[in-house]
Amino acid sequence: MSLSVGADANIVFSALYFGGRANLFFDAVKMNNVELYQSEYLRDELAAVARRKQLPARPLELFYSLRNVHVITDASYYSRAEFANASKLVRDAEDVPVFVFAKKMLSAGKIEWFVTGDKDLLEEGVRTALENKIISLSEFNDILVSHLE
Amino acid sequence: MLVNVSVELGRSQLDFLEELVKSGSYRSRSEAVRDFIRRLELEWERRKAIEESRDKTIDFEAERKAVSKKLLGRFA
Repeated sequence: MSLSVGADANIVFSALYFGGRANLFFDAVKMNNVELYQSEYLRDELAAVARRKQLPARPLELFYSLRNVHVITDASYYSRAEFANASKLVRDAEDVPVFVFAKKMLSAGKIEWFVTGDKDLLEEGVRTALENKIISLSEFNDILVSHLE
Repeated sequence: MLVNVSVELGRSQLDFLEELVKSGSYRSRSEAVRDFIRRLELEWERRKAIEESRDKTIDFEAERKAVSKKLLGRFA
């Protein structure tokens, strides 16, 4: 049975363009061991960064065409109140949609973990607010290895 | 647009495709093959992209900030 996880744009970016520690994550998605959830915002952010840095678009197109990679509409998690609350907890404005998306998906039971490489989102206050379900790539790799054993 | 092609498979490969369809993982052998090729192509393109990125240093968080202003406008 596959793991259901959400992933920040930085995780997918590392996986597709740099490999390294993100290789395990990529292989798990590629081999259908992970059901991956991202928001439209995260997908578009990643695409915008790839364009800016003139990175090839084809890996992104193929990645998001996989049937175990799900893009959730921004409308499905956006809430003015939630965004306002998140702004008090999360330092950077661009992290607010990420936090709210993660919170919504975790609360709804759609994902078991949300993986990020953003240090600000891995601070204690944010981790506590998300019941320690927001984790680093290293932590996710440990969970994945245990799951696959 | 889908194009009909003919491929030769080993017996065990065909049995594997049949098993996947029978288990409900895929609706047809063609759907399974398309999915496999998609994943293989992804691996292929990814390796090329990683090779091209080898000498690049990209600060994703800085890039995220640069693109965020326009993207955050959708939540206004």
